[in-house]
Amino acid sequence: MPFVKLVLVALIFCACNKLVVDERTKIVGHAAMGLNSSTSIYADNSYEAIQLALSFSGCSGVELDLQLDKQGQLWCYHDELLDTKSTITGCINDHATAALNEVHYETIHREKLVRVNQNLLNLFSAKLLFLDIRHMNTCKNEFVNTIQLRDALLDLGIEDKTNIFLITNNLELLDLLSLNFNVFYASDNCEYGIEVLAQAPECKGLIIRNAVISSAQVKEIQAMNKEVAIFEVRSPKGTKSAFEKAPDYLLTDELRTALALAND
Amino acid sequence: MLRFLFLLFSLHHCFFTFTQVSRVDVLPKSLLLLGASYQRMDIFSGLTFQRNFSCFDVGVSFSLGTRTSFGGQQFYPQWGTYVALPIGKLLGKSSTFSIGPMAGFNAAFLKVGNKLYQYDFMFGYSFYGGKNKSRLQFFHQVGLGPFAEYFRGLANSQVQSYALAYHIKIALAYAFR
Repeated sequence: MPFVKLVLVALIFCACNKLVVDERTKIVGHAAMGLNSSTSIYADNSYEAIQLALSFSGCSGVELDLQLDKQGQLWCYHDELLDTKSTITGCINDHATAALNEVHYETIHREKLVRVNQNLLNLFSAKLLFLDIRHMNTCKNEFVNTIQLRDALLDLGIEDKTNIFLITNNLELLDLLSLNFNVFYASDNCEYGIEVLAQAPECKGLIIRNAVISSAQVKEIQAMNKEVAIFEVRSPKGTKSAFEKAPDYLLTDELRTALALAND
Repeated sequence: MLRFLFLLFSLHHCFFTFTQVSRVDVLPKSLLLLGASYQRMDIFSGLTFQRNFSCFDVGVSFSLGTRTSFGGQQFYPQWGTYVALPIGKLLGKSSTFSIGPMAGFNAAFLKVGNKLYQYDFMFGYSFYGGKNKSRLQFFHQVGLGPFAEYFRGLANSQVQSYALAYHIKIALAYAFR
């Protein structure tokens, strides 16, 4: 019986053990309010979701997915095909700007597709913005025009912005864009990612899934004077484990859960 | 004679085998529920008290968002109330269970830096039942309705967001008779 009491007391102490979040870790909304999350309320990458995410005082910024249209304009959209979530079919790369202006998400709010322009960037005067570059045209199974992509980014005037970061998993794009922008390399293999960082001095850091990076590897990257952003963070358990690794940025799909854990 | 006995047996069978027991003796006066409700924002677990009147049932509940309260280490309470019309009971179609349309309201509070206030209305059905005169009953409720979230955002501005909410509740009930 005393043993049972001891176990109960230990359980209470364990349950009350509050997570201590590293001060350096900034909370960022993945695809604004989260990807495929029932708590996100608005469609991912939508203007409404971005505004809602940025309204939370503990949210340092958002991550958005970037795709190039036929006329060289940039749009926020996650999926490879428009069919999955919007009112039209095909790939963004094959549609004209005028046609995409009329596109809505097939949700209860019918949010419009968001074009990346100065109006959008003005929301991020005091917040962080990660732009994940989608460089493949899945409909034609070919790369988008990388020079057109770079020029579209240069037209936004974000090259000297210290709060705006690009993300790519393509080494060619990493070399091309690192000359003008703050670029994170995305990899599913931490060892390989660290190798790339060692060979790319201009690269800002590594963005990687929570499941494939350890606390020691986060420290190793930070010791290289690079930054680490962890994504695919959804459950309370996963969010805790990501916080414990003390990355520079936590890209969460459950913004409220991450903010609740970080809240004193 | 044999035909007469067969007719008598048949009539006896029809009259007495399908006779219903009065529902008043079978259905409980009130219920205390312990259960979980799967909702848009969390899985809420807690207690509900339901009082069964002759033509409607009323319930009040208090529960905690388990993922946020235990996993997220942030207190996430929800208060709720509902009214159900036990049509099945009123029509006397069953003596051991009750089912009918339900309308309810929930209010929840969460602090994540900002103080979030969440309200939702639900419209659906409510069911409970169990073995004849059993103390233990099974309770089930499904609802769908508008959801609203309010908080003070940056520069003290009021932030509002609206969505469609859903509730799927399963509970075990103790019946008071």
